[in-house]
Amino acid sequence: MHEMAVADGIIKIIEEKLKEQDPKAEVRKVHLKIGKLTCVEPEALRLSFEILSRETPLQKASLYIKSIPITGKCKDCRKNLRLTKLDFACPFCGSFRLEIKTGRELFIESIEIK
Amino acid sequence: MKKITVLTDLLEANDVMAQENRRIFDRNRILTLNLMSSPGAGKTTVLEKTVEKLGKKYRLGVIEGDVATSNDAKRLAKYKIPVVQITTETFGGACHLDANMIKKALEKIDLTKVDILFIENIGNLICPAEFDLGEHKKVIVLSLTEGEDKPSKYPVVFRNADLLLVNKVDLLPFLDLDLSLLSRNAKKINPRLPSIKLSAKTEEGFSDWINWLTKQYNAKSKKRIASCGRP
Repeated sequence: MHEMAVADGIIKIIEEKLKEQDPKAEVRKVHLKIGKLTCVEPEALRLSFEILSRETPLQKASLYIKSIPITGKCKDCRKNLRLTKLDFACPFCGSFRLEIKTGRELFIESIEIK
Repeated sequence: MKKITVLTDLLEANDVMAQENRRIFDRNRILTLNLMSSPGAGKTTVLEKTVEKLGKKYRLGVIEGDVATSNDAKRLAKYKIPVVQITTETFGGACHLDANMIKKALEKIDLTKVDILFIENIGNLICPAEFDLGEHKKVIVLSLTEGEDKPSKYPVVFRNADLLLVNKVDLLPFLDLDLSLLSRNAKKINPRLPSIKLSAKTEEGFSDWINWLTKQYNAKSKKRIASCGRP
């Protein structure tokens, strides 16, 4: 159900944007960047979006989701790292003292309208 | 087809609103805590006991988050403290609270009459993790029956926490549970996470939690005096 709230947030932000730019437009594509740390399942997000966008200018839109990996830097060995598991351990030295740089995104990059 | 750039991050938008909430708390000299746990870990019982123990010393308030029902708010209302119920049914059944819901709930509380505000998040260890509400500290309540591996299974919420309350320790004799393994798992994810073992039922260890709360409140008041006490 997490995805329902995220889809709802995305639709509201885009509707606001349309009001400013082109109130009569229909949205066809939504480009998103979703970080792995947000625990958002793309398929669940698509389904939520499909349901919640009905009878809005987004009802014909498809989501284009780019997944963003969890990256950061180890505070001990100072190496840049990328986490493939949610164990928060440095893959080089095993330290848990990490500075996370990416992976928290729930980013709406752009929309395409008709 | 025409392309429009949006460049808005949902979490950033939430963070901005959370900052606003934090300013409101600071202006009203309120210490705010976000309590998170899985369903049934004992958040409401911990709160009930906390109100019984601290209700005379501080003016307490609670924001209750649930997907449905106001059962928890009713349990707390009998203590005659301000309680606001948020039911996320009206927000599409969301499984976490966000800063905007808190902002709306704050309109229903007289903030000049609260010293410590507890936000009881929706029972869930996944979704609330990344949503800052404007609180000063995040507290996880974990009950013994949930097992030692929860910190490893739900690392995001443990990583962001400021305190781990291990609840229902009165059940320890009946369980095959390794408490030290639980602590080690939690420390792995968050090396600086302090933990307090307690039972909200028998009150064993409860004074440690009350002391922690008092310390947090005092630290916040001191900071305030330090920052605005100069002539």
